[in-house]
Amino acid sequence: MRNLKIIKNVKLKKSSKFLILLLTSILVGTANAAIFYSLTMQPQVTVSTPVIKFSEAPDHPGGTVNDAWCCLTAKSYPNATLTYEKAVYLNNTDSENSHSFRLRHVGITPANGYSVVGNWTSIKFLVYNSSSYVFSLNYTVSLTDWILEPSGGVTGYYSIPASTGWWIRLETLSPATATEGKVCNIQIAVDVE
Amino acid sequence: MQKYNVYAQKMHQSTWLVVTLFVLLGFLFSNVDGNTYFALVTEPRTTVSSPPVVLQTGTAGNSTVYLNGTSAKISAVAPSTLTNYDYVLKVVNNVSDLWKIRLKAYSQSNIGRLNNCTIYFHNASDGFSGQVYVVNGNYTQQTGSWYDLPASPAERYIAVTLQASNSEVSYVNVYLEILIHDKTTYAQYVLTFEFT
Repeated sequence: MRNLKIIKNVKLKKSSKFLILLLTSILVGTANAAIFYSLTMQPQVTVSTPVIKFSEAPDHPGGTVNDAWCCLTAKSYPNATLTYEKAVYLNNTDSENSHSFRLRHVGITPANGYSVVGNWTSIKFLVYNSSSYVFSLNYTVSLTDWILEPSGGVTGYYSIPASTGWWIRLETLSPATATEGKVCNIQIAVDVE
Repeated sequence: MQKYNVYAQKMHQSTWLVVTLFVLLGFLFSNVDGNTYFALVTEPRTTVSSPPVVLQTGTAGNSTVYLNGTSAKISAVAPSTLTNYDYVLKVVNNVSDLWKIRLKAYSQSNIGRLNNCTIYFHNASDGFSGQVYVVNGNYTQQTGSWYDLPASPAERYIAVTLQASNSEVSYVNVYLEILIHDKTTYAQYVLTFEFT
């Protein structure tokens, strides 16, 4: 208490006061400065093929197939089911690890609400392994709308073993009244974990 | 008493500090544990096309071929004596591709009365190929073997041999499967056989 009184009684010049204030501010600023440090990241991006990739299958209906993208130019007949048993292969090229993937609807034209949708009855994508059916993503038509199954257009994830090839079976069906030349474009993502 | 309260307050603060640290560490680890994934894209394009192989009506029994020639109904009387209907339907190839065809029975009703029912293909060059057999009310063969359908102009005939024990009605529903040569791509046409 006595010390405080002594300090209080010390007479300082204006410039000294300013200097003390300045030094105190610098001290406070330094003390309050954020502590930080930086790590260094050196990303190296190499062009490589995906571990799960497409390849042409015996019943490929036409269109380009490359590792990460494939186009299937299929047909549908009025009142007849057309089946492309092995439309495209999905190969897990990882020789050591299994990987999970799913089918996810991205887009379709003609869109819901247009009468031209009535030119199809169903378009089905069924995934098979070497011995049996595994899962599917189906588009069926109700009047002028596409009904996706599973609803939401997203399947579950399924694990494909290391160094294994599965395939997609494509089934198309149009009603007897379908008009020749009508085209339906679908985009499906194959999400790989 | 006051001393204890101060300690309790300090304890409380340190507990919060520890909890906060754990929460922050939790965020840190979850970021480190993030998934790596990628998406391939497939773009199927489906065009409505005219069928390359079509059905045409036969010369025996009564056959109705529906729009586009991809489905048909065939009616024939099944008498008490063995009767042959040659031919009830014609399969016509309109394109230059080669095909293989077969019949596959997938459903039926009241076939118990059919003592004998044979549905078969034939033509002048390849001869007879039995596809679906019903003997004494039971299938003895539901799926036939593949039969060649050459490039256009080419026709193959579907014929039936029938015998029944009474005058009721039987139905045999059959797929005509049309396979692209050397592939496993095939179309299925629905044929309904009505035997009265």
